Amino acid sequence: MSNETGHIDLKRRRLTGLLLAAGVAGGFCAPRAAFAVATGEGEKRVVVLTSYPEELIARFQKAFEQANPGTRVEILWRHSADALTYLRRGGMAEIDVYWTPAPRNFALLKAEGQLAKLAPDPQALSAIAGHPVSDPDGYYAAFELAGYGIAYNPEAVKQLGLPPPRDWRDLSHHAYRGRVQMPIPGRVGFAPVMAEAVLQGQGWEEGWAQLAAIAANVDFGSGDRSPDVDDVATGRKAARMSIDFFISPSRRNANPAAGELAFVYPPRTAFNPAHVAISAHAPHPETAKAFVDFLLSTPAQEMLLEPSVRRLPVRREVYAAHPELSAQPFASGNLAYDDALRRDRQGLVAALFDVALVQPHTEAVALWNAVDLAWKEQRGNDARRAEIVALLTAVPVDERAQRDAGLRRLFAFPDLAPGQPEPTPSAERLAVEARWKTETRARLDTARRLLQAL
Amino acid sequence: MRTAAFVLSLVLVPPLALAQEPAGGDFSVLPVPGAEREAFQRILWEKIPNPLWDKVRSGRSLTRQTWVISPSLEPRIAGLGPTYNRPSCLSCHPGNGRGEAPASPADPMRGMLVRLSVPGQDGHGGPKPEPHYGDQLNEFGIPGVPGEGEAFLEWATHTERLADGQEIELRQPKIGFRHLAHGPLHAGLMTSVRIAPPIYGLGLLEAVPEADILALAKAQKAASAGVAGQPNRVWDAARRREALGRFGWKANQPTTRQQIAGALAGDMGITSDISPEPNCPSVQSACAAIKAKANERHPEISTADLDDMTLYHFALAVPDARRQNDPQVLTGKALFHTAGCAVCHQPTLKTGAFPTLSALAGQTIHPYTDLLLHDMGPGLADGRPDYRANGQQWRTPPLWGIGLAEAVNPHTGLLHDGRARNLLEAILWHGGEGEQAREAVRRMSAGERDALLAFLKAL
Repeated sequence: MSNETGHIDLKRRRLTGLLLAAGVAGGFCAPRAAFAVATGEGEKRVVVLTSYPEELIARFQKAFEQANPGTRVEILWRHSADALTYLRRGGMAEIDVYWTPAPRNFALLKAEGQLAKLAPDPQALSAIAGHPVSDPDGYYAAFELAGYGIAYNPEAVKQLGLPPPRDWRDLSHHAYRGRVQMPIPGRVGFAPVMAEAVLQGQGWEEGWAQLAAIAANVDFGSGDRSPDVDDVATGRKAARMSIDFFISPSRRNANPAAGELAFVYPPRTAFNPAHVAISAHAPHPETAKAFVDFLLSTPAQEMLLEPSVRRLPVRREVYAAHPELSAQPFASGNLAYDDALRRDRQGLVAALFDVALVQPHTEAVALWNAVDLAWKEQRGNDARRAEIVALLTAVPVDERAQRDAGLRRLFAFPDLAPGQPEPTPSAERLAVEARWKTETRARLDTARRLLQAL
Repeated sequence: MRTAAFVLSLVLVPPLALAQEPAGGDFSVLPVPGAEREAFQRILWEKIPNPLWDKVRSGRSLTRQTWVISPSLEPRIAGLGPTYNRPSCLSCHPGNGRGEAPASPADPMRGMLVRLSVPGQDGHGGPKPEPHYGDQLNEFGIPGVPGEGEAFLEWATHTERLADGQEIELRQPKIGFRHLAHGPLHAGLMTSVRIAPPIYGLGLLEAVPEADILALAKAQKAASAGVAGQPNRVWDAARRREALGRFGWKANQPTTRQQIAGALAGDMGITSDISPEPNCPSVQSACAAIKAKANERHPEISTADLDDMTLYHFALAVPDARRQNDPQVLTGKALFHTAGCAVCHQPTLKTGAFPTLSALAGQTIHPYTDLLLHDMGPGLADGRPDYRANGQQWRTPPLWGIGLAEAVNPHTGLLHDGRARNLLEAILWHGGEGEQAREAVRRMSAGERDALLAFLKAL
């Protein structure tokens, strides 16, 4: 934090030179040892800004401090949007290392000249399906990967009479009606990448069709507005679109009869990198470099696999050493997930998700139920059914239109300052959303008429 | 009358006749094989009324949250500092378990804290804070505010010999300070070094009627067997009156909610309706300047969020005992009683009414604590009074789940300062009222000791 004059005071005030001195024991009749006051010669420090969970931070903090006696890792914590605001308000001179899953922030800070160039071990610089996970110019390096997939309760799925899910489309089976959770992009931090895993993996229009079909099995309740997997662990829900590291043994149900959680990576899914970088204005550049080198080292990458951490390494040789891992992000044929594309259209995707899937959800589910009933009663032919399903799964913005830079900009998430309220949507944006709603309504009305005519 | 009959039943029932009931009554859960390290994080959702689910989730999220320095785009989780020890509850309670003492003077304190006080009492009978550093040394300061300094531990060792000749090395910490930012510590300083304890089962312990705990103290005193637990009487900030202390190493907190608020304030600098003022002694000018800033928001955690955190703690299931029919465990259980351990480590308590979470009411539980203070002798003494606890008294820590400690946390540090590296070391540190039990263990054969330890590891 900068003070009002912009002066940065990071260094802790130290009273060095104090004699090692016995204090006064004081107190009860205990033979308690006297305390000592010592100097702290040789102490080094690295200040790290992150948004990782405490379990991960603590593991790496301790390992680095043990490997570098006398060095202290000081942690500052902020989510990505908050961090960007902080860093742009002088924070880059208060931190040494930025270490977090926030690709947009790294790209912006690099463009703004706020990052120092790294010299990472080339072995640590990997690519997924030819798409580099680290900055090709060397200003930030990938530290770990988050894999996206399906968390499911095997017992609950079995009770539905279904095999374990293997791909996104499996979640659209009508037997899952009301038993699937799908995080909402505008409400859950990881959900935009989750949606993009489907959109990029299947293509824009087929991806939306799959999302819409899965949404028919969702109730968009509180579980779709939080990252928690409790409802799947308890068996209330059968499956959920999730990040891999949320599925820990702790999320298994306390009631063994409810089964345990399992996780599967669909064949074409996103493995999204998190990064680490050194501030161009780092107060402690040497310890910063040592910390980054440590994070990218093979021993630290191995630590990512520990049960308390559960992340995917970026060093390929770690996978070769662990053939038991179900995740193989560097295998051939994987999706070349493009997070820049996600960032460019995430506002648009979030708004579309809300207008096309969440708002008309009750009505859409009723129509899906009617489709299922008609199919069960053998009313209508395949062509008519396909026509109705196409109406229920169409997206108001087609592949060509979604490429429009102006449209994406219209829905871009604004960068806010602390205390600043969300801006009022522009009239232009509201008009576009109103058009989407009208088109969606018309499609649902058409689907209803077709169903009634069966 | 009910309480008297209950206490009598505890005294008269032969140890092996005690039913093999779940440790936490209906709020017990067996660890998932292979996932024992998660054993302290389990929630029995089916016991939580549906309307409370979102509040429990909210409380869990806040408990797991790493807190943010103000100002922030996320005011709900902002307020870390101005000075603090660690930024998250889980920093000191990894896996909802125990903190760890540093192994050497070079290592920082990452899972423990140092309480500070000087002779005298505060306005409510509690410890009087050190004038320049307050009641707890905070190593870190937010940018612009110096950390108060760093405490470290040096370990001195000595060897104890058991009756069968086995030698056990014990270690004792000596505290030191470096980088003190606000001048020398007070000449009359008293310190108490404490690791963070596990956080499950607190609701059940809070639901034990005060009368039952007081009756245990009375029964122990009447037995005249060298053990006489004493209730602590502490300040209940929410009710604005004195209350029975139940939580903390010296039973210096009356409720789970106040315990959480105290940790938020002392460890993270987060103000609440119970601790509304930032911890900024007047000599700490940068800290005071932050405190005076008009745009700072206090309390930094809302009443509703503190309630949610408390509810999450209540909702945590107690790990159930394992291997209860194993002959060695049964032998160890009998030895636990005959050695006298069970006088303080009371196997069975009953909960009363508990409106906040009625599922916790009316449970027969096996926490292995009497929630009372006991003189543990000079070896364990910190020499620092805390309300009515004197410098040699400590609250009997619950033993439920202790057998899973090593699975949950990658260390085995026990006792208030983590000095004991295993259960046997912890037993050998017992003095004062625990001396008879300790000597009984010292006299045991190796096989008997193994059985006793097998029993404890099965809890």
